[in-house]
Amino acid sequence: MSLRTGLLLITSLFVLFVLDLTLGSVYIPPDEVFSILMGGTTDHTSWRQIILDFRMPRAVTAVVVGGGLAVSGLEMQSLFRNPLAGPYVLGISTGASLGVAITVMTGISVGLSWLSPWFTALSATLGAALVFLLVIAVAGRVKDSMTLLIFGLMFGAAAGAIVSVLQFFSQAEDIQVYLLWTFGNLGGMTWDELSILIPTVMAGWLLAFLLAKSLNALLLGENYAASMGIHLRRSRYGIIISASLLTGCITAFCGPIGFIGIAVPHLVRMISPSSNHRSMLPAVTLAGAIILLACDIISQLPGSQHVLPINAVTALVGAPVVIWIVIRRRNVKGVWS
Amino acid sequence: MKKPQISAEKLAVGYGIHGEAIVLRDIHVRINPGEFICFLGANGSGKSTLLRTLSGLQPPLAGEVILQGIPLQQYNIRTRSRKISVVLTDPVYGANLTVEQLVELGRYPYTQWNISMGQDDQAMIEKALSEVGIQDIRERPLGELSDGQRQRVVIARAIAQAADIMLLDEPLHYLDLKNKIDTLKMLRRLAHEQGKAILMTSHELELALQLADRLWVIMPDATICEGVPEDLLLQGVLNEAFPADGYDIRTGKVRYKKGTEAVQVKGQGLQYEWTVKALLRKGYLVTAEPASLGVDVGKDSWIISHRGKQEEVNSIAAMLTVLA
Repeated sequence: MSLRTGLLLITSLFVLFVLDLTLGSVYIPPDEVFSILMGGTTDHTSWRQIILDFRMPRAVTAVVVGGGLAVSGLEMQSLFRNPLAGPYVLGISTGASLGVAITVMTGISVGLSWLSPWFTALSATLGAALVFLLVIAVAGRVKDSMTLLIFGLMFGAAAGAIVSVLQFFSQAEDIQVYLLWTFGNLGGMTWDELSILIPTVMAGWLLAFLLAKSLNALLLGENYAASMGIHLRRSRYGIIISASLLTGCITAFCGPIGFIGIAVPHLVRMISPSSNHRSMLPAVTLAGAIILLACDIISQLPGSQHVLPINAVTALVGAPVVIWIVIRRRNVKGVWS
Repeated sequence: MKKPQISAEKLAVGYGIHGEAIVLRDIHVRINPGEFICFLGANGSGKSTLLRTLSGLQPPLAGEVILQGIPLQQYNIRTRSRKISVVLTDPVYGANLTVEQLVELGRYPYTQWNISMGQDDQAMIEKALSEVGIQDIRERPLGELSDGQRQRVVIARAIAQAADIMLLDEPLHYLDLKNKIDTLKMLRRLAHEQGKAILMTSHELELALQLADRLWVIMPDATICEGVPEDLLLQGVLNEAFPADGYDIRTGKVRYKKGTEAVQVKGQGLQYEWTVKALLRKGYLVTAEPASLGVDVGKDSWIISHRGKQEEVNSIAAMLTVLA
């Protein structure tokens, strides 16, 4: 990543962050936003509450989730040497979905509604952790990473089937709760929840950065990496743990948010051609944060009282953008062959 | 006798934890410092499997690989990577990687997690680039290179690794004749001048015969026969290992069906030799005795005598037309 690209990304991130705080169902002028953030006084006490308790956690969540998912996607694409890999290929988030589906639709959560947001997050975490342990067990036995990829896909299919069965036997209201969770949600986060999400994502990110050398060497495949002194099993565990921390924790709190993880690394490769993870990781983090912030702004349909599900926006807005860039540059294949 | 850099005793290689698929067994081989060895064998005979086993990327099914006097599995992976560098047939992705960045990867055994390159590393990268002659394309991304250029970059990466032993799997693949010979000569020079122990698998029998110090040959019974090229040739080992109908490895000539129509050829030099080859290829019986057909090969002309007449032409193609 060149200095210019870096500055451009950081500036865009800052501008979009402020925009995200400014726009919404109520318009709050940027200068008021700044004064509230600086702890200054404002004539509208409700604005203060809107900014600090609603918009700020939401914008911070968008940054953390966007950056985290994009890094996780990059790690998976490099580990599996597959441009179609993303944060969800290991089946971690499918595990989270299954966890939520089971608790919501089998009625375990009945009577615990006072715990509701935490309860969903907890069941998602348990589901993700369970699959994570399975993946680790498999990773220790298989020789090449492709087997892991197939494992993830098969697990996803099986979990999807179980969710269908659960839906078939469930009440409409329970299905709705589950569906709402799958739409993804950046807005429900409190500072308490963020105090768990942020350190976890930081840990996953830091681990990814420590593994930049392994990720670079893995570009040439596992045999070459091993011949260059890279400890394959250790690196694979590290990458899986990092990606699982990122995906698992984010999915638990915000639902399975699509598109960011798979698409952002490709966008970054096109804007700033590089294969060196030391520069790719920060670039992908910034780009992921920027794109999810933009999607969040759009999802709130500024000026209206409606909010679109974030997953619909990431796909509806993001997919055409990626297709446009791919067609214009025609080099996704070039990057991978 | 010099101490070998790498050797194998009673080695068996193949796949499967319990040795279900042994590809080669009872292998006794060694690579000495300063030696350039070509490893020949038919497709699928186990060359790559042995090469991966010797480099530690795959466990042996029986026996042991000894690296500089110590069993290979006792090395930690980092120390091993400073002793053995490889060129594999695995495809290399990452089109955004530039030539120089790919060669840099060769220095990974010497860097810490933060991949900071010192002066030694830079110098070694420069040396590897110039050794293979790719300084002028150092900034080019891999995706823009031809297959041949990419192959040379991959070899440069192995050189940058500065290991005592280089094991190369089909490094000549994708290269045209000139680049094949250049690469072979370069590997030979690395072995002879810098004392590296180099093993290369290849299908280039004729080039290997002329440039290798020793050959390893996979025989039809899945054992390995090794020796100086000329010995193997004269002992008939190569003919046994590569039974190719109508091709005589000892003379390097294709055998044609014996002709019926005799042609007497007179002349000398290259023109004479290639005229004879053309006639043999077309199924004539070439002789020095007087015959019903005759060709007198000059410097730029061919005088053909047939049915008492004489005709002069200025190319082999025209000569063949007149004879027919």
